[in-house]
Amino acid sequence: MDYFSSLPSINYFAFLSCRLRDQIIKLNDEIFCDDQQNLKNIHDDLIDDILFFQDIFSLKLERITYILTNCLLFYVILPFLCGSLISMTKPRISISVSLYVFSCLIYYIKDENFINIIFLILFEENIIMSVKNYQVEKTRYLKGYYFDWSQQKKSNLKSFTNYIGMNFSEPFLKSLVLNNNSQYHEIQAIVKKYDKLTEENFEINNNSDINFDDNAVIQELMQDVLGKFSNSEFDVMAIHHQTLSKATGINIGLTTNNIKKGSPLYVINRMIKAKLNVLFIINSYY
Amino acid sequence: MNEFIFLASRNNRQISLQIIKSFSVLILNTTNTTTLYYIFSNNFINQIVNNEYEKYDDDFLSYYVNFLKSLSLKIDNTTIQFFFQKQFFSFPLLESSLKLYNHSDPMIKNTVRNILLAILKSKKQIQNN
Repeated sequence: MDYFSSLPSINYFAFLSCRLRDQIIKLNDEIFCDDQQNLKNIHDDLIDDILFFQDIFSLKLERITYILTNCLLFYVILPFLCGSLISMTKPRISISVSLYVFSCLIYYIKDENFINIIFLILFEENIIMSVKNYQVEKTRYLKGYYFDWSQQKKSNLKSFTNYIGMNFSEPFLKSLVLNNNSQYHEIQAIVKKYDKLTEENFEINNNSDINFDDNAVIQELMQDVLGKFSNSEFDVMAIHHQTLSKATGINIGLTTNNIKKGSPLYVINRMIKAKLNVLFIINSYY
Repeated sequence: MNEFIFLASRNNRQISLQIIKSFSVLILNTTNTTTLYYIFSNNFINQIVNNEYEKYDDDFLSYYVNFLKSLSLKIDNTTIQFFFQKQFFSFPLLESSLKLYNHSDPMIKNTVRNILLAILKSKKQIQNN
């Protein structure tokens, strides 16, 4: 399993995209104020963020590029930039700011695929109409994300359920059994249980190792961990994983069905293919 | 090394700061690869990195980020394996630095970004090889 395309590191790309979104909102709000120095600082931060995206794209790591493009489309480009262009009511950011950010993205990011997608979104009418699937409200909140460091420091995110929810993956669950010094008593209970199982295993089979490659063992471990969640906590975690899977285009954590089919790149690809098929049929007819 | 890890885990700001400062200097100035491999081995450094230093003030954090930066400067195709704990499926250097992605100090923010880019770059080199 690739470390970067699983929890917790995949969160970072979503956080980066949300941060760019919040910088744009800040820029939009600051334009109407008189403080030019502050406006310049926010603008510099925004350009810094876009240049960092270009740095990541320039590494040409296929999977990372795919995740980052999906996140940018899901959290920034479709709901905010395109959403404000086609909004019939008062948009969250003004049309001029939206167009300016589009021009910055096109100017600073040199990744050919990314630029092609931006052009497609802007000039292909069917795609821009699909923006309604990515409304601002749906993409507004991301668990664990903080724009401000001081707020993140103050936050009370350190609970067993949050710890599991933000790290959930099969290798992570396996590693819990080895975590002797955990601060969470729920994990200590799991470690004790599996230590006991190991001892029993040794007495019966003369083999102390529990086979975590066995699907039944993994399922039991998963039940042990998830059994410590209340229904509402479990729902919160499941929704978080589903949203993140949709945003990144990769099945994450508890998400087992093909939720990535709702990811922006998948939807855009499907529309392009449908359009090409129609063009092919028309061409062959004439 | 175990003594350092024990001291670092005692949640004392002054002791932790001194350990971090000393290790930054030690790692940056070690040119012998065998010595460097010894320091990085057995998860000694990972355990020091893994402690929760975010609760301390910004002064402490700038030293801590400097320490993370000195580690990231030593990352290449070979040394990267010392930072990834396969049995725990964790990458303490990356996880600890990414926590500071939204820090108000631009220097800390840029260092965090550089660490990520250094790790991704070595991942790319491994893929190419």
